[in-house]
Amino acid sequence: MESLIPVGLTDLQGVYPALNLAVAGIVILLLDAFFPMRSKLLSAWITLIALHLSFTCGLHRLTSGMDETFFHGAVRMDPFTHAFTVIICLASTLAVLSAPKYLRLRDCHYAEYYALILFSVSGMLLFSAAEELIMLFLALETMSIPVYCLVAFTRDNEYSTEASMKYFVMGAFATGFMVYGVALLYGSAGSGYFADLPRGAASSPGLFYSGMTLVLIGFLFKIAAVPFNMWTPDAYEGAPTPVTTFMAEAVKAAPFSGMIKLLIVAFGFSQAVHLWMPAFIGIAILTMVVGNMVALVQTDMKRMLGYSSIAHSGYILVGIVASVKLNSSEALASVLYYLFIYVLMNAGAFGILILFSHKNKDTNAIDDLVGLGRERPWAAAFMGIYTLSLTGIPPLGGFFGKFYIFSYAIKAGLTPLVIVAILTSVMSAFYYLKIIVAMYFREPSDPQHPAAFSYEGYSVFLIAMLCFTAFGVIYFGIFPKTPLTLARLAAASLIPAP
Amino acid sequence: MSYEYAVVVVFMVVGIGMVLAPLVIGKLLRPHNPYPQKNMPYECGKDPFGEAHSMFDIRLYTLMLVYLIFDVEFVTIVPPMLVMANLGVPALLEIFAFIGVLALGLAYLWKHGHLEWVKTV
Amino acid sequence: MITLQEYLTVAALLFSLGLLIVLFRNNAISILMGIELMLNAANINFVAFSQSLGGLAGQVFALFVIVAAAAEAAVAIAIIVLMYQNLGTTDVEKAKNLNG
Repeated sequence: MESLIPVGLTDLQGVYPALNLAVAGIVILLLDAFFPMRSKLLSAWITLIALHLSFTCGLHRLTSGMDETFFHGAVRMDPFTHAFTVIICLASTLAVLSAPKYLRLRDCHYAEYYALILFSVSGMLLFSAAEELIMLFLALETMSIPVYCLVAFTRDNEYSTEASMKYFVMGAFATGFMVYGVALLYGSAGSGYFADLPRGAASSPGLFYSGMTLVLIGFLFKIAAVPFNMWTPDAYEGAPTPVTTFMAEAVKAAPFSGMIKLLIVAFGFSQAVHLWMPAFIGIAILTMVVGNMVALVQTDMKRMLGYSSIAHSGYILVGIVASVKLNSSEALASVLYYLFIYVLMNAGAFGILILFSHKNKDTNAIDDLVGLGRERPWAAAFMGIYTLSLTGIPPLGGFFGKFYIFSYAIKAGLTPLVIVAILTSVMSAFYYLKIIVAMYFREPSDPQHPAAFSYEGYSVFLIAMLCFTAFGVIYFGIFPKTPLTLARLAAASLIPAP
Repeated sequence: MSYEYAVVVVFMVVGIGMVLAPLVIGKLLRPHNPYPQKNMPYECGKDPFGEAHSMFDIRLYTLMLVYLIFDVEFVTIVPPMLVMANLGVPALLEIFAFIGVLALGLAYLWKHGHLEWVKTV
Repeated sequence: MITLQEYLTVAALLFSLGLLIVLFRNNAISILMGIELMLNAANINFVAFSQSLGGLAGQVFALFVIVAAAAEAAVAIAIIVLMYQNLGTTDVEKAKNLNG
């Protein structure tokens, strides 16, 4: 039996960012139950403060380079984890900012929304810190289960319900794969710690490699890589738009954190790499090609952004493959930078959709945006910034994110992969530019009655979110130094310099 | 030559015979007297009413969820209980902390009226 | 004495059964049961490995999987009830508002 030292206060302090959010979630639930108020803005503020505390704690720990293990080594708070703490807290803050008015318009503004977001985020933070399989699994479940509920949050909306059902089935299916794989890995290595897993490949390779395959399939489901992507467009389209924002960013970034850690710490030895690397290259190509091709024919914005988020997963996979192949922390830093920029630009695009959503109807079709440039020049300009950044036009953040990833991929000798990536990026310009063409150059079909763009979804929160994301996409594109330095600091803790 | 397999054959014959014999003997000996009541789920006591596939009240579902929480709670307090002999008080505190969080959940349910049978929605 | 191999075989069969149910059944509740089968197959593996390798990690893992499965089932049943209220069916194939 292992050592029997009880969990102490230092352990709890170590996971402060996650713990803080879970406690805030419980406080919100109880406060709302015992002192119900008509306006739920207090809950929103508590959520924002809690997220802010975790964010600053993560940033502080990242700059101070804290690297310690807690809970008998099950949780490792290293700069890589802190970087994801920062990204995930930022992403969820954006999702929370976009929510209040949208939910109020649909009579669904309950405090539970904020509590569920907080519970989910606390799971995500532990997910990126997990250094042990039990922890990884529990964090994954803590992260996913609240999101199933959030997708069904507009309770009497049948689209929302259906999306939730589909998302749940695929999510739980992926969990089943992952748990079975984890069981095999545990059986081969006799321990759940990531660092011990390579031992299993030597003693019982059959168990180890089948376990590795199943676990990675589970992860590929979560990041929506082709061919495990079938839930993504439906879930994105049916979910309430603020929840889609949350799913497209935080729920997307968190599995990457766990996957990168597992790939480098547990599956980073050369025999395993030889097995998963070709598969990942194939999946990355498929993901980029299918994601971008199918996005071309979409007419619904949320669906289109869903497919585009699949395509972006493909680019990130390219970055991961390149950084493992080069064994370079610089390359991994480019992945982190890309995720950071991706969070900003995607949140902005969804924010514009929320701004123009009506009481009972979302403004989702691309055709709904015709004439926006004339009627609402500011909103159209913001949308233009996000779409151009998603396309990858310099000097916006999206361009540099892609540029860094692709240049490291070329350095790693993955030229064919980069050619596919660049071709599909060009392809993606067609559907992103479709939005810009609709906003500025297309005449409304009925010129007598141009579409009325009322700011029904307007709220101070949302405007703050839009301004921040637009500013971030431009500023961190032109001056990428700060995020890149921090990302390098984070990546160096996972891939030490040779 | 391969007489050892004869055992298998004898075993099979005897085995099949032991199943068939009671069926055949029963068929020969028992009286044959069917009437409709014999097909009912219970031959004595109360007559059944309604469909066997009856609908349960949806309100049971909320209570079921509450039950589920405390059902599973037991599973999670087993590990600390097992090490309590070695760990002493901290293990006990850990159990109470866990139950405390669950109790907060119960308070939430109670305040929202999910424990009432007649809940005004 | 039941060997590790036999436990693993049973677990693998159970997992495949769950997989087939999830893939080929349309009723949401059947799918949920299939997922539970998959998780329980993993549990058999955990306990079997724990017995053969010594140590308690596998057993503790199985307990946590049970807890997570219960939480998942609770949410799933809530979603299924909601689906029945809004769409009037628990057949996932009949839910086709989102063309997926």
